[in-house]
Amino acid sequence: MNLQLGVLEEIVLLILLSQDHTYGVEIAKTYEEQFEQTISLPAIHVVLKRLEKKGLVKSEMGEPTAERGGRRKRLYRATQEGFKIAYELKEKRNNLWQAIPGFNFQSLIPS
Amino acid sequence: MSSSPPKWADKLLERICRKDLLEEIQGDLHESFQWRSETKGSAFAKRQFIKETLLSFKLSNLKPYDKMDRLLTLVKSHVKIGWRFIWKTKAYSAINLLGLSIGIVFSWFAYLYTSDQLSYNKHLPDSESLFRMTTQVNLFDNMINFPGCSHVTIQQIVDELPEVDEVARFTDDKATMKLPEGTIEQPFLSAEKSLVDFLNLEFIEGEPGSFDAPNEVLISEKLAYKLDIRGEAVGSEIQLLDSTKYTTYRVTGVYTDIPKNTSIRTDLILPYSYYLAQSPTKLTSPDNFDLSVLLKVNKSADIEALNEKISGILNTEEDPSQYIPLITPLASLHLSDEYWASKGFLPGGNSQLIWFIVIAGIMCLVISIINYANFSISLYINRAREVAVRKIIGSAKSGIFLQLMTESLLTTFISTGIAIILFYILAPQFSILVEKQFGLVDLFTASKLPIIAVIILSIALLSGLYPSFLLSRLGIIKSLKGEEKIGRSAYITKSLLVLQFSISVIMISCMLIFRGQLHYLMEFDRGYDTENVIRIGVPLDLVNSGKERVLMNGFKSIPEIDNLTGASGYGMSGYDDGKNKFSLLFSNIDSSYIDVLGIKILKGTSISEAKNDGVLNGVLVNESFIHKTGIMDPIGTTIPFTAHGFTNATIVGVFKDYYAFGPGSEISPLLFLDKDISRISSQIMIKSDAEPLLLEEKLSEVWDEVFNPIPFKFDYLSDLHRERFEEEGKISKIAGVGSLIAIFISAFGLLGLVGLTIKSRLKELSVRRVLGATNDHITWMMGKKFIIPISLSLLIGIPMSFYLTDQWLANYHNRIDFGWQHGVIAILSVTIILIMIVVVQMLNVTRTNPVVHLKDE
Repeated sequence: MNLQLGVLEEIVLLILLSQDHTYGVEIAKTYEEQFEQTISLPAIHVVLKRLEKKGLVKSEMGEPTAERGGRRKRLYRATQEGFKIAYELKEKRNNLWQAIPGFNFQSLIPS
Repeated sequence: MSSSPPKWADKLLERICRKDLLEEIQGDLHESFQWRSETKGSAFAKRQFIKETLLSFKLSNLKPYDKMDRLLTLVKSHVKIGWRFIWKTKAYSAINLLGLSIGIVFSWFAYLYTSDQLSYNKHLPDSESLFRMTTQVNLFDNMINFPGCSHVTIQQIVDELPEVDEVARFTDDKATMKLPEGTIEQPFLSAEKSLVDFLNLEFIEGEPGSFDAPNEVLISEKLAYKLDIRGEAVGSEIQLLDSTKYTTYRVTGVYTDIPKNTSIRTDLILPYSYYLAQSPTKLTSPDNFDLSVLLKVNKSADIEALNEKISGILNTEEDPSQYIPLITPLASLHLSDEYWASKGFLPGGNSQLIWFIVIAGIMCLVISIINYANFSISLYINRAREVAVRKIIGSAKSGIFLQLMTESLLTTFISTGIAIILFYILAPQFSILVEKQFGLVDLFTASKLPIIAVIILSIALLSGLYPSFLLSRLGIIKSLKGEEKIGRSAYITKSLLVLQFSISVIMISCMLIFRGQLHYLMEFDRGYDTENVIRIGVPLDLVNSGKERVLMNGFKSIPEIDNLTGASGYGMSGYDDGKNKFSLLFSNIDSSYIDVLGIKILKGTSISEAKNDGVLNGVLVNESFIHKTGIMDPIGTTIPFTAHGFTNATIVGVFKDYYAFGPGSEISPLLFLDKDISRISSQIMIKSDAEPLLLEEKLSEVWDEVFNPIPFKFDYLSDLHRERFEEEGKISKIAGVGSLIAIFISAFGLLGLVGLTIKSRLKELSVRRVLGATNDHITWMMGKKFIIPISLSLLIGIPMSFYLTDQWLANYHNRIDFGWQHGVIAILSVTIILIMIVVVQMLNVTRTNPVVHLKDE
């Protein structure tokens, strides 16, 4: 299984997993809320296309809305595969975190 | 919602983006625009929208290839048709391309040279806050700028002015240095450590440290190679000849060579203590301005206010000083008109030369662009039918316009290719001309490529615009019938021709004037002999050591020497007799000085004869002195002149004015006094008509006996004088090259135009010949059409060149006038070219049987 996911790819995938279906602007909004920095839509589009190619998300066209000037939106949904990979990544990370000994934190713990 | 996304960005997106992706991308961008303008304001949203639109242009988002293909096919066919057309009219295209390439090459050279000259000193890290010190001395009626500063003054500035952060004091000198093989005369600087910082020297071996131990030196990479100590330089020893004995110095650092566009460049730096040890008296003397100083000024300081403070620093309340220190910015030093090279500061550029090169470059370019436009128009008349047919088939005006512009772009690209080859061939010649190394590498540096590209594109645009505009508007039916004659364009073609030839005429007559003035300066009669006079400088630190007299006595025994004399240089003093105040030059001479230089004594006797008559304080003065003071009966008059403890000067003779400083400047009052008064002979002049090589051998023998190991050097005075006109020589050379190119390209243009005119009237001319017109008659008939534009260009060009050269000539005290002969030569050369071109092109008609041209159709 190819686990190669970029940081942004992983974040977008997690955002998709947290919602039923969603689209570009919604993802950007969630991202900006979380990280408090602006992200450009083309960057998200590229990531979505890449995830779709890897089979981690699938998409369909939604209904036209007024705020988009009557254009339809493309709705994305994470696949089972996507969930599996995200979960695996999380497990692996947890394992790594457990290997970090406590004393490394001591400098960070406020006295 | 009040605001909407920028329309143009939206349209652009629609045009370029793939259909199936457009809905999603555009929709998302619009929605996010609304959201962003609500949360962060519409200005931010707009910016973000544009940014996102541009970011969306990814290869995968672009419209599929088959849609783009249409445009590509179109461009491809344009290029193909253009190429065919160029190929079909080989001869004219070749002329056109060559003219354009020459124009491009010349403009490149102009650009490279100018940008190099303008870049001087600007690369230094704090170039904006670096200043050079000079001193203005007010001497009676004269204001003299000395390119240095006294040690006392600079100390006061450092102590009193907080705006001055740091100073670098330095001076230059020369010494004989031992190499692995032989010796060389090595110039060097004696400088403080701060200069190393100011110049931002990069050390590849060792480091300067505090750089104050007396026997440490820093050397450049180049010198390290020369000494063959590259890689192991630190700690190596070098030997410098100090007056009479070799001193050993230890290398502590090797720096990469200082960039060529720096005013202070050196391969060897000695510590400042070298200078201090050389001349301890200079430290306390307020009127010794031979110290070079760079100031680093606080970035927040007000420069004007600072300059004012500095210029007044020597003034006390009751006594305004006659010495005024000034600062000039290093960044603009190189091309400044008041710049003097001195003591470590290398000679500056010549702003006049730059102007001239820029103007010549632009003119050559303009001429070649005009050539192109003229050619295109005349050639395209032949293509009127093609344009008409294309219009009938359905081509729009814009389509034809695009076609013609593509062709001009194609032509420009081809000539750029030729230009690159030409550049490669001509670069060495140009480098020699401006004494600066240029090669293809300089052309293709990242910083210059954009400008080079802009030059090329603007040529394509400028040269193609007018013909394309004109031809895309041809009437269809008339063109097909062959009636379309572009009446207006004949005028425009002709006025372009006039402009082109005016420029040529201007260049030719300017060149003639420059050459004339140069010749005049070179051959100028200075009023004294320079032929066969040799000048030998006595090493400065040995003047007054008595050795120079030993040397002179040695020289006297050489039979080839007719006469010799020792003299000081020119000193300056003030003269004030109560009525007149002016600055006065003086020189200490011995008895044979007047004879060696062939100076004519008009009244009275020489100093030595006067001495025999009992006048001990005799001096000689020149005519200007008499003129300025208005002394009626000079011989025997005592004047208030003092120097070196010499008082009560009595005029014993008046000599004829001569141009001591060349024809460029006025003759100023000059006074000669007896050499025995100061015993200074810093130079020895020898009159001899012996063969130079033989003479050099004999002289150097004597020299080596006295001054070994200092190398012997001698110059002919006439050579030294000629060297002074190097700049004028350069300008005149460039004018020569420029005018040659201008006339060459214009002649090409004319050649083509005449040929085309003849071609379009070939049948008519043949009919005339059949009916009995003579060859002379039809040649005249064709030639006279060009007489009016050519004479018009002479009418414009000659007064213009008169005006231009007049300003240049005004710089010279002695100059030639713009004479009729310059005009006549310009007129003659242009007329001869015209006649030759018409006759050559008419050969096609006059040498063939008229039937050949008449038999078809």
